[in-house]
Amino acid sequence: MIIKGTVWKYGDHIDTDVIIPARYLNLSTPEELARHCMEDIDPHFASAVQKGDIIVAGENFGCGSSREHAPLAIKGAGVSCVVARSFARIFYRNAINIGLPILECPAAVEETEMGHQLEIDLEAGRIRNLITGRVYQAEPYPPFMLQILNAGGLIAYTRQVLAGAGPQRESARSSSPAQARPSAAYRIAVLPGDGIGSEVIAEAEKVLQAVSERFGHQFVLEYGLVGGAAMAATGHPLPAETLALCKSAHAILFGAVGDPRYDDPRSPVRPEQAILGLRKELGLFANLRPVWVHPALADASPVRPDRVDGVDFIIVRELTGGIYFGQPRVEGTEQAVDTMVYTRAEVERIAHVAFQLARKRRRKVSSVDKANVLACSRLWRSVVTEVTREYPDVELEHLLVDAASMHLIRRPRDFDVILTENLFGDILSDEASVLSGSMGMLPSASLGEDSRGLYEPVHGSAPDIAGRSIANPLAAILSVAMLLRHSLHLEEEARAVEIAVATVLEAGYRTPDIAPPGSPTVSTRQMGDRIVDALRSM
Amino acid sequence: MGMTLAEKILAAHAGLDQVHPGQFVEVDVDIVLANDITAPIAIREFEKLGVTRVFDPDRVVLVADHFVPNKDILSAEQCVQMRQFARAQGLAHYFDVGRMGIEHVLLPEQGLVVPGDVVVGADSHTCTYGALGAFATGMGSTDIAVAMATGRIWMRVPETIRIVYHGTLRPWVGGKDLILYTIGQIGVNGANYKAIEFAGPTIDALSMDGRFTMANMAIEAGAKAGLFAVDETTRAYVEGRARRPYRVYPPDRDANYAQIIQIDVSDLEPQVAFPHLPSNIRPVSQAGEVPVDQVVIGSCTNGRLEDLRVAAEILRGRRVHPAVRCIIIPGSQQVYLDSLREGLIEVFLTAGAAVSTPTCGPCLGGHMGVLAAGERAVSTTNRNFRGRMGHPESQVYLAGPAVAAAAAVAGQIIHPDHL
Repeated sequence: MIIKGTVWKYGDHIDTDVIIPARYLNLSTPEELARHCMEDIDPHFASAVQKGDIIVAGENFGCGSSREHAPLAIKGAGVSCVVARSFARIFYRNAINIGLPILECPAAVEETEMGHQLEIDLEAGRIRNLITGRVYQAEPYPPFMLQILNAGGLIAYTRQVLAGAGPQRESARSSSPAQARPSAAYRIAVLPGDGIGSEVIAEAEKVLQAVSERFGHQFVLEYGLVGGAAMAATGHPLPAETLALCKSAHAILFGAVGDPRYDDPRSPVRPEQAILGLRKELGLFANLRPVWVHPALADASPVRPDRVDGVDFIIVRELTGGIYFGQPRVEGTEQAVDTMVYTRAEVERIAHVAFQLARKRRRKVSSVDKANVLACSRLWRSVVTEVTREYPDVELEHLLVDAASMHLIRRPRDFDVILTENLFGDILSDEASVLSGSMGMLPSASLGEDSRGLYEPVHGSAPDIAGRSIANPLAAILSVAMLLRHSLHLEEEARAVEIAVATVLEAGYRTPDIAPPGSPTVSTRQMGDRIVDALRSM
Repeated sequence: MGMTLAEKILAAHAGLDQVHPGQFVEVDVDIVLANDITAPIAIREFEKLGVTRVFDPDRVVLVADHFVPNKDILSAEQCVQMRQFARAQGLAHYFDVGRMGIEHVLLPEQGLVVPGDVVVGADSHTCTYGALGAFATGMGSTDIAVAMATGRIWMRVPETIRIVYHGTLRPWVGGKDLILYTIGQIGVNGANYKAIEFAGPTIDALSMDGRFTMANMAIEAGAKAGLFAVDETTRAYVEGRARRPYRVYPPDRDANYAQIIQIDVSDLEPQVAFPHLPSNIRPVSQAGEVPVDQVVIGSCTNGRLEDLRVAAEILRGRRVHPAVRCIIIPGSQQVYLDSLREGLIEVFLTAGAAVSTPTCGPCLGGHMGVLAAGERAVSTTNRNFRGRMGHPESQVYLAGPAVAAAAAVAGQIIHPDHL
């Protein structure tokens, strides 16, 4: 929905008493209330405001009383949207409940003046100042609130929930918001990248589309350039527009980067920097890599089938600390220096991720370090041991990385959650990927403090097979399942995708990377189609 | 991971072992509340839900307190709507004139809210019940309509700020001064979207009435809730009142706080919030000369027995300044009766103050003390926004009952010791 209107600008802490003075609280219809809207600070507003106009204000808009009369008065006055630096909690909730669009966008507030014209794309959260030409991106709504907005407000949303569950208390209890099925526009940034990235992401998109049809969700996919493709177009592997797109999305679906045109490891600008940049800018500190060997694929593993059958663990790798980022770093021909640094806070937050994940699985964490040699590892071990006290129901074992790398091959079934630091995680996750028979089967997630995450297949851009439609799209498709689960909190939908993948594998469909030699194979596109069919027939 | 008081109560009501800040949960509510100005919209929205009965007629509480005794025809009609709804639904707890009180004074006093509850009310000062160790928060009428129908409500689990107070309070300094000072420190949005946990030796020694005052104004810092852990003071208050069994949730030692603020209040003076924000705080000694036209002592913030005792201590044997109208409003019928029995009402009347039946009236510029242009009031209420108590050009200074009573006598803002 596109809104266009003239701006009424106000300052910080516009309270509900000035939005609608209490002396008028003996009125309750939007039309009656609108006649007195803002009158104590701006006597002209109520008479001069035009339908579609936009209120732009500073911090803490709508503070004070809980009166719903305030957003009702604004809505009744014909205001199409309120843009503010921030909103008071109760007003924010009331506005969403009654269907008054509101956006948080400090930058737009800063540069917008009384009388300016704004054009707002509500769905994308984009604000364009038609006088200055500047474009701003507002904070996205949390996915749960989108469900209420898209249902048409809280009453309509609740009617949907009640219709599914009945009005009784007991049945209402069993109907969590996730089980209600109103349409909801989840914004997903799609960055296909280089090589086979765009081929596998095209299949992942088909699967998202099928989920959307099957479960009645609305996914808004917005595309960005990244990696070599972005360098060719803009000179930078992570253009500012792509970054802004990611920041305004609920989740990011990422293909792969790496381009033979820009392959010099000493070059100051390389496609691979895009992923490091995204991790840093989005604060993605936890990398999750599930390793799961489908029984039908046990033969594809180089490890004996009796050892890999039933393997199901997840590696939680710390992503923003350790030797990859520590200073000082000295390049040299006679001597070179890398520095490994970890802080208590860094270890604590990644440990919590691992323990919480374990609680949803088999409740076991294997923390991997090198505490017999490294000081960082000794801090790691002691902090993880402290954190485990908060999870008495989760079993913790400490393993040295050398031993862990052997156990991964000798007894991989014993692992549930493997928690480790950046460098060890990088190595162990590649080792573990071998168990499943193909990198083409392994998804991953990178998560930060909030629910936004980046999801990508573990494999690279594989320029050697690009353009031939032989790449395995299942890693990308399973990344979609992780995206649904971790960022959009759509557990049932995530499971449906995983079940679809299992069903198709059981039916015998294989891309070349997982097919026994000489047996028939399907193309990238055909594999995507089979998954979509499986989802549709569920 | 350890949980804060707010997290523990929400987790228990969501049927979860653990919740974390930022998580969206659906919780069972113990009490749903609305008043004569918010109930009419809630009833209208309730009817749109296609539900015929409230989830539990013992747990939906309606109180006529804002514009009662009815200030005009429109207010009277709003009360009629609420009264009819209460009768049709068979609500056990509907409070009308003669039996009512200001809702946030009334509900704890009547034992309708107990420790460990989740309470949602269509009034921002619903957070008052945090004093009892309950998670209580204000919402709009539409949320309340849904809670009335389903007994459930969605919430985002708030981060918690823990504020720890140290030191013994000086004479004439109470809960109101602690909370005004705190809002002055963190600002009117210092706790937006967050819960506040009040703690420390000063709080341990604070009366229940002082705690109600503090929890009441947590919203003035933007907080979703302001909570106190249950201790012997709480138990003594709840004893004999509670209409239901209750659960006590202590915060964990290793709970995760967004922020921990330490405040030493040994030297704290009585505080005054200047117009037009509750965060615009000055100690009374730095108030300068502020002549006063009206003093209001009462409201959901300071309309309890202890507040009236403090006011009476100052007004006893003194006269209200000839230029001042002093309006004293006991917060409930019970507070009124207790004040009468203790002789406080006689003290007020002898001093030249007006004593009103319980109402929110002047606090929000409704009736019973609306200000004209240019007039100044010292008020024990909770908001001093522009136009809050009447004309947009009037001014409200917020203070505790001691400073308010002293201003009534002196005709200007003054430290009670300087009378």
